[in-house]
Amino acid sequence: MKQNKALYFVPYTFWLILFVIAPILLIIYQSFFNIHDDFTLENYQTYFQSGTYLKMTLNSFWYAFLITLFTLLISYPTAYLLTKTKHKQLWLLLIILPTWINLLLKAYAFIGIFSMNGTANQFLSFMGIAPQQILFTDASFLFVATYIEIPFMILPIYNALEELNPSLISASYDLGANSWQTFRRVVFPLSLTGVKSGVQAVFIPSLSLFMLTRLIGGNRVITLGTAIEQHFLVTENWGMGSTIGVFLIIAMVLTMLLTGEKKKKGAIR
Amino acid sequence: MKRLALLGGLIAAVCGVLIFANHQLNRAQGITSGNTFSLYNWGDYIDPELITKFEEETGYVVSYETFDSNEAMYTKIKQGGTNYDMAVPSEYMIERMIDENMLEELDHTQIKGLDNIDQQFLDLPFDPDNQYSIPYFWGTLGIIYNDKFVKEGEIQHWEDLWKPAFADSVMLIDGAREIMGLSLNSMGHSLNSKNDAELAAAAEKLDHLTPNVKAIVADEIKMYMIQEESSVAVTFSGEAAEMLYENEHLHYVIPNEGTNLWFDNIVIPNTAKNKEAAYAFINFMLEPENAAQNAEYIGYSTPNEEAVKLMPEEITEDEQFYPSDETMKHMEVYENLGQEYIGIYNDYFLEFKMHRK
Amino acid sequence: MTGNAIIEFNHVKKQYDDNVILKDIDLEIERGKFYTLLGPSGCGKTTILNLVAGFTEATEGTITLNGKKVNDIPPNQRTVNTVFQDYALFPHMNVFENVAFGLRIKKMNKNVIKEKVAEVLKMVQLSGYEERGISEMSGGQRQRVAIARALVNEPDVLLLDEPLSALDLKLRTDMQYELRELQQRLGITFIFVTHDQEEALAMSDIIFVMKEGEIVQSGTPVDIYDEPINRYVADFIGESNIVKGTMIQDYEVSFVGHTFECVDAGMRPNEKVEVVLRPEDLVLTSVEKGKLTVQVDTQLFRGVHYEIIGYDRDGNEWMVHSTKKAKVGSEVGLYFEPEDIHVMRFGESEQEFDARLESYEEE
Repeated sequence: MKQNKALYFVPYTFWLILFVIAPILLIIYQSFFNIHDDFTLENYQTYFQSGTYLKMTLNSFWYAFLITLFTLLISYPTAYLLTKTKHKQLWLLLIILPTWINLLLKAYAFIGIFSMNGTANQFLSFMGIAPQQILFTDASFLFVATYIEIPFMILPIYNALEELNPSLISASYDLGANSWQTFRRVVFPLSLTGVKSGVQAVFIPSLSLFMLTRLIGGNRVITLGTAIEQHFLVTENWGMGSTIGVFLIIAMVLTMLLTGEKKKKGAIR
Repeated sequence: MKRLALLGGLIAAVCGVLIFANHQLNRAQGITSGNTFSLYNWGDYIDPELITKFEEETGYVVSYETFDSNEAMYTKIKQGGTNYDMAVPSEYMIERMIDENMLEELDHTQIKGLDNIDQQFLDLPFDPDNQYSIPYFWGTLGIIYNDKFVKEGEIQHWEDLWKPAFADSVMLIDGAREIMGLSLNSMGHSLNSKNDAELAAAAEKLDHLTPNVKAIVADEIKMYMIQEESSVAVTFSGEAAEMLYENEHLHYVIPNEGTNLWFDNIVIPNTAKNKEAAYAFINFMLEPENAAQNAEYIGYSTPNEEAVKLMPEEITEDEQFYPSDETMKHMEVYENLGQEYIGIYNDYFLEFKMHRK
Repeated sequence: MTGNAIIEFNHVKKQYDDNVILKDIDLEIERGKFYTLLGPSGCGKTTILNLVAGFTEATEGTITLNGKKVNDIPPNQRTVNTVFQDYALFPHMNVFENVAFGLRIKKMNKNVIKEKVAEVLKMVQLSGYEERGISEMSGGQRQRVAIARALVNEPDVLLLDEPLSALDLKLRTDMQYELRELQQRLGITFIFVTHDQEEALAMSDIIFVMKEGEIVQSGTPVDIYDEPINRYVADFIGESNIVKGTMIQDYEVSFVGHTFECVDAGMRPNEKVEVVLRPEDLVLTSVEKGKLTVQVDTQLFRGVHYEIIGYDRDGNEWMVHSTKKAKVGSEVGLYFEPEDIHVMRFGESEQEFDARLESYEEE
């Protein structure tokens, strides 16, 4: 019987090996080859010595951090209010709906809104303000990236809040806590799992955003994704591309570890 | 156990379907039977009427497939499984495909009308004696500006892009060769330079361009310039032709100190099935009337000098697209720099992109 | 109104839209007693608890706590604490932090908190469990943590919402003793909600029997057991044999074809009534000595007693609890005393019932 159960893992393991483990190993393997097909650590040396790549890595982290932060700041209250609304399913659907639309289409829609003759500037001139350069700024990039990532943050937080036993909140009030104390001591700590998975779902993809960096950021924002794209498609230096990929994978694993579930014991104050 | 077998079977089935679908897709692109001529070309890069005319004249059935980048086309053909009879790569890609033995050597005895082509577009370094390719269209890299924001004559040279007046108003095409090239050209160097000092200087000079750069984008330049998002942009003449057609305030300038001269040439891949049809098509496109009709439709510059004579003067006299010999003299075709220098160009370009104001 | 009342409900109504949960509740809770709200689910007993705790608002009427109207006072400002049905312990805190929660909110000195938590944990016999996580505690232990967490705040009233329902039988009985003992030791008013009549009888000073948003009868466990006001209460509390009868005159009632002496009075002559005889009051005897004759149909051994079901000649079912065995199929006599007979009038309210009792008991 026990053996039988282990057998159930075979297809799953097979799938994992084929589509997760093998590609990662391939990327790591590839990263040890330079453009002359020599087995070498050259790519890693370049990564650490050029400055460009380190700076780019920092850049990626910085923007991913900002995107995650803004997304969180908007999503948490939204998710919280959502659990209090009457037509939860409808609101939820409205929030999920945009994720069904292709990223490029959304980006182009924002180009239409943010361009010099776009809706936003038309509104500004209606208000008597001269047209502003909105596209290709950090602000517009962060705005659009945040907009796109918001559903992926709201959903896990919403689920965590929905799962929260309402009698815990009653208990908190009952023990003398006011709304803010209840939120800080009970609701927020218990929704942290949702926040963590939301952060994972937003931070990791944000590290390697590259279409938006060009379309909305006008390549004024450069992330690791841009460099990987360039190495695979333009210079065909797959080794270097893979090396950057390896660092991206390391960053992702780190993020997962940092935001992952830890078995907790003892007091949390 | 039953469920387990089902799951295993399901995964196998998914893989099977993927392989089959891939095979079918590959087959669909470039199907050839004796009568079919399979053409692999850029999107909207031939007058459809000419295809009909070709089919009527020769009896072949044309199957028209499109690609959107040289690299995509290269990968597709390299992978195998396709049998396109003809493709239209750009010059640097032709050089690479020749190196990798992917192209059919042309039998010049089967080609009629090659002398219609302007001598200066033949026997170029990327394909000496035109052993593998026949010129289809050519063009330049230049500057497009909007006369609402920029006075005529204010921009004539690459150097003008650095003018403080254009702060935050220049759009650049997202290409390492193009941007490094214009910087090299502006300093009087070759855009094919492999001189490390020259490259470093060009990169250094680019950093000073940063305050003027509004964005570094790709095909979107067309849309942005038409919408007047930006007043100045660096782009290819082909794209420029379409922009000019859409917005009358736009003008295209070719810096006469030197720029990139590019070609899209017709080639026959090794994998072609219907070479007879390919030669028929080459000859068809070399006929001046057809070349002229195509050039008028697409808006690009034709290398066919007999065709130029048939076209309206307002087009052929336009220095923006048919520049003077003097200007032409300074133009250079991209050479294949080898992977190492392509890497260096790209690294400099990446640094430039990351350089903040 | 006695000066000892700590909670009073005055014509309290509660309804959601058209759904009436509580109809005109009047009640008075005295300081230091153990109260039980007893009734089936949906009868409104938990709503009363929520009204006291402040988790829900009354539609009409006033609620006073310590003589002050509290209708608009939020739960965190009421001097009552609740032990929730699912305990509602905070899963992200250990035992100490759970218990200390209310004290931390009050911003008490750290050392005082430590002392008080230790004290209350000792009281519920959980000393040494401070650092345990909630998930590591058993059901009974969680129950105690929940009680400790509420008691540490020294509330005027402790509300308990079916706190024993999730425990197994043995533990439940133990906890009944403990809760009763704790209440008597601390002298805090307990309001206990349950649907389990045994629990109610065992622990309470006063029981409120509820039905469909109304309090049907209130009183000590003995009063309610011995003198249920109607069939509903009689059925709900303990096992009963209920038959139709006629009140011939005061102290004389007739049922199943015989007339018996009884201790009830104050009804109209020949009034149709219902008669309750508890199974444990029926004594198995010979047919000759019995006041009633039944044929034994089934017999179950219940440990302490046999549960015997028999039918009389009219087909009425009689349940007898007896330490003696009977023979299935045989005819046996049932003997009972006049005071074992309890007569119930149809549709009599609690006030009318009380008034009637008073009228003839004074005579």
